[in-house]
Amino acid sequence: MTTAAQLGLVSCEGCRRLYRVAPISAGTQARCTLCGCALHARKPDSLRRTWALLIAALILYVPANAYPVMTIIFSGKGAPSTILGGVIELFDAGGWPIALLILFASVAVPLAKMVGLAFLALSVERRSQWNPRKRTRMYKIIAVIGRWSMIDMFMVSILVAIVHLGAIATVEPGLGAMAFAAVVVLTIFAAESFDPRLVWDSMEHDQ
Amino acid sequence: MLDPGDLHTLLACTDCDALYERPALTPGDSARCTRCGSVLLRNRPDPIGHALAYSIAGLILFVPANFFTYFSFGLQGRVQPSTITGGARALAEAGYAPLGALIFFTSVLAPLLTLLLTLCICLPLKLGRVLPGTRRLVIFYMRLMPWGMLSVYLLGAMVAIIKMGDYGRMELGHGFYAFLVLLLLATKAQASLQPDAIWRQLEAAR
Repeated sequence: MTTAAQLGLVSCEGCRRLYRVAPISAGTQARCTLCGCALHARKPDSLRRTWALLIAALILYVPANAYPVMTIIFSGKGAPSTILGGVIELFDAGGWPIALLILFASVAVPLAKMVGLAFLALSVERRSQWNPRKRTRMYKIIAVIGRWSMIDMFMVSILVAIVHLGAIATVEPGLGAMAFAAVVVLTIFAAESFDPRLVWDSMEHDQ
Repeated sequence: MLDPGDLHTLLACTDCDALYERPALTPGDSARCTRCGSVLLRNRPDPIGHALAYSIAGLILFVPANFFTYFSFGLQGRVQPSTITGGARALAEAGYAPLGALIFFTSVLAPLLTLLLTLCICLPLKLGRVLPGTRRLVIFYMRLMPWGMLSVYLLGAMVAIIKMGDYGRMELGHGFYAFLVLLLLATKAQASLQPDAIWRQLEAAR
């Protein structure tokens, strides 16, 4: 199997047009003549960016789970609820299907995403030879599922807007929601920074 | 770097860089990369016409979905209605402006811009014209795609209903039903519009 890189070709990230690599003067950037995107053989600084965003997400994951995402106040009595607390509450209120959904979206997805991306980045750094097809699929899944963690944030935004009945009942957002949203955004960017072609590059060099 | 010229018959896999002769696909077909298994190319039947139709319908539904009551919460005789944008506003008022902005962007702004961009890209192409700014719009469209989260919003709304069911009465408004149709149309518009089809058309028009 021949790759574009082996033939000295670069595929444009925007429109997939192919270009032949040629030397350009220092300080300039080659651009695609069709779509105008900067041309790179691989996403620039892929691993460093992925790690930086991943570590930032991991740090914020602590307050995201420690602080309440919202506080439900009924006749003056407040019940703060964290992400995990919310899942347990749902088990009691709505039965297990919806609780499982939230457990999946708000707990499993962010964790799987961070652990998965760290695994992929490490595997590239160590030039791992383990099943590149599986690693590519893993990357695709990570890139797709990230958005589903926003379920809880949308739920909080809806409750804050509609449970707004003064002294009878209100819902106040919590710091945890802010941190959790930041984790979701950071992991989406982290997944976007990672270049799955790096997985295949390290397979080639060792053969 | 040199201009491709003869390279336009080739195509590299975005996930593993494997190089292929650009496959000739009949409408509805897709090609997979034999090396990594990712989809290499998809050929939708009439992508521009379909995306155009869905985006126009979606833009029409966007109005009731966002301005009619999404749902209301009733407790002890008092009823509090809200729209989709109400959530973002309430968060901003509570001092959570960044979170409100993110909610607004993912549930209102990004889906709206995606539909508008689809319209602005496809309408001239359908009429056989290539406007000078189209390539910028396509790049913007591709960047925006991951941020439209209407389907995730729907699940968030479901959870909100179940969560508040024990406390008071949650009622769905007209906005909610309009939203369901909007979600369907936006999803179809996005699935129809293959950026590759547009790039090839823009390339041919040069």
